[in-house]
Amino acid sequence: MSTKDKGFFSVSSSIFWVILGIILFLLLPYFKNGFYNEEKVKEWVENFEEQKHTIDSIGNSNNSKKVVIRWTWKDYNMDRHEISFRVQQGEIQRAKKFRIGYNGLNFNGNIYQDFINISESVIDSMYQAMLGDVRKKKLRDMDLLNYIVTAIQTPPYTKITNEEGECPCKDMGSNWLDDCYPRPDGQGCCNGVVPLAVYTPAEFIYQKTGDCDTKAILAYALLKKFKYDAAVLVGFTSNSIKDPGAHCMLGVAGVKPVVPGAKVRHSGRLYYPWEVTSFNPYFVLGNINMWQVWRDWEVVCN
Amino acid sequence: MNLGKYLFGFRDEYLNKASETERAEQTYSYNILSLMFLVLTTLCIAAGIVYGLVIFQNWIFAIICGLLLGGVSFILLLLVFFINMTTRHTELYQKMTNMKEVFAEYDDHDFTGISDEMALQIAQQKKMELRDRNQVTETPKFHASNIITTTIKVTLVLVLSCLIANAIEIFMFKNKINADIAEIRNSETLKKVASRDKDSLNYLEGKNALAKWTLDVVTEKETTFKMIDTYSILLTLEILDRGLGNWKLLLDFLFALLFLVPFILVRKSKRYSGGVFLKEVALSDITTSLMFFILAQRKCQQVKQIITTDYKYDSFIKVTKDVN
Repeated sequence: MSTKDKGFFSVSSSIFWVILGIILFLLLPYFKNGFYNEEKVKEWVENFEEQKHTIDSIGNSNNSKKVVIRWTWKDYNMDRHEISFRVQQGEIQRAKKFRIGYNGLNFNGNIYQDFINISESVIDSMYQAMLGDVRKKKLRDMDLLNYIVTAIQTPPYTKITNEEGECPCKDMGSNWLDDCYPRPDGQGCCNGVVPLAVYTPAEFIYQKTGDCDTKAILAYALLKKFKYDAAVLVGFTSNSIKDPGAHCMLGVAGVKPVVPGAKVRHSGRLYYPWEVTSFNPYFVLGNINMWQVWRDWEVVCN
Repeated sequence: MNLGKYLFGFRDEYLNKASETERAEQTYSYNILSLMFLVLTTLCIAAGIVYGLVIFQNWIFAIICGLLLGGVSFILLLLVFFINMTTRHTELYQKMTNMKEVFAEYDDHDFTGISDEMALQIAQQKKMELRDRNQVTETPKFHASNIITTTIKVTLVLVLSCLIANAIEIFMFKNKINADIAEIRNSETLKKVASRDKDSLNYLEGKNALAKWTLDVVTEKETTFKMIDTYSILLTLEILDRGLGNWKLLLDFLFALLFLVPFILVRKSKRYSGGVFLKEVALSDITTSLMFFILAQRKCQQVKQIITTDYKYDSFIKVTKDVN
């Protein structure tokens, strides 16, 4: 046996016993304070408290707290975009309270426009972030339109109803969870959203999920800020009496549609429909082929 | 005490031809290896008990878990040990893995008249001849397949070490983990989120189910918690990971080293691969195979002889000729 091999054997076996010694030593109750940092876990739990504080206390204790919203999406060219902006939580809470209190008695004007007005500061934060990004990327014309609309299409769809009671998730198929809340993954549903089963743009920006009109009004508001002639369109997509398929879409005038066909005339302008409920490469300006019929469409907000 | 005898079949008769020094050295080496193996198996049993306690919160089930994990690890580790035990006496290794070469030397021999003792003597002669010829060890030649087999072995040992490391770390820091679990249990946030207050915006985050789950796994049900105050291994590991931070990496590395050292030793130290024990085991294997080959040949040749003398196949051949 060579000296070298004897050395190798001794060193290797010594390493084993030394490691075992360290492990056994650590099993003793007194010598591990240096290893385990209880503060880290406390910090974790406290952060959760902080998160609670900032989310739950909106409108209650600290309205000036800001939350960072990060928005990522891909446009029709599969170019990735990302913006982040801060919004005041008090503003989201204010918009929510406004929506809940919005009933027949104070229904004086256009509900969509009122929701946009109450969410003004939140929408403006998103607009400013988009504006900065758009300038940096030098987007304009159709590219700019696609940029804005795909940003709204990308968050997942959530079924929203204004009826209390049974959760609509059960009618949505196996892809939806039995969780009657607006989940960020889009697998939830929402019931009892009054008055018209629509969230304010501020709530949509915060929870990043919504249905057709929730999305359409934010897209409309953003396009208006970018000086486009936009509108919110409502109409029916089915001839069935039982389920006429009331639907809401974004309308854009003054731009050549990608798929010419359906349009709505309003105040001397032609508004072409744009499906914004979800992202799909075929959901381009003017395309209504995803629907059976195009019936009784009109501009409700312009 | 000869621990190696029970685990690796390290019997004294294998070392009859070895010098006193060699014998002492080999006994020590295999005793150390057996002790390492027993330490690793004990750690596996302990880890099984820890996991069992967290999952079932019941000592009987925990012990069953410990025995199960210990048993599985015992077999796996022993398997990897044995796979790594390859003699560096190249000729012996080659002959042992391909006995046809040895048998070919006896193809033309007439064994019909030999007794069992004579067969044993022939085999023993071969054994002595091989022993004399193989005095020097050689470094095993590299083969591409070594990369795959070594990777599989190392991965297996590392997976096992990772499993054991987490359990032992949980046991080491159980009091600290329990203190942190208490913090979580008493978190007002969790309670509030779990209660799902529709007037708050909590539900917008979809955290309700998680909060309920977290509170559920840190709340005692029918019996008191045994060691860790939660039913969830995932939560325990999350807390452990956060509490230990980078120290966890170091501890995991120590455990990995603890599990790998015995295998490195068996593989690289000449005390094992170049030692007398493995050489004698290989020789014994060759001898036994050769002896049974001779006995089988003897029987075969005897049967052939009986057929030649007692059965007149020539007459059958003649009949066939007449018919034609």
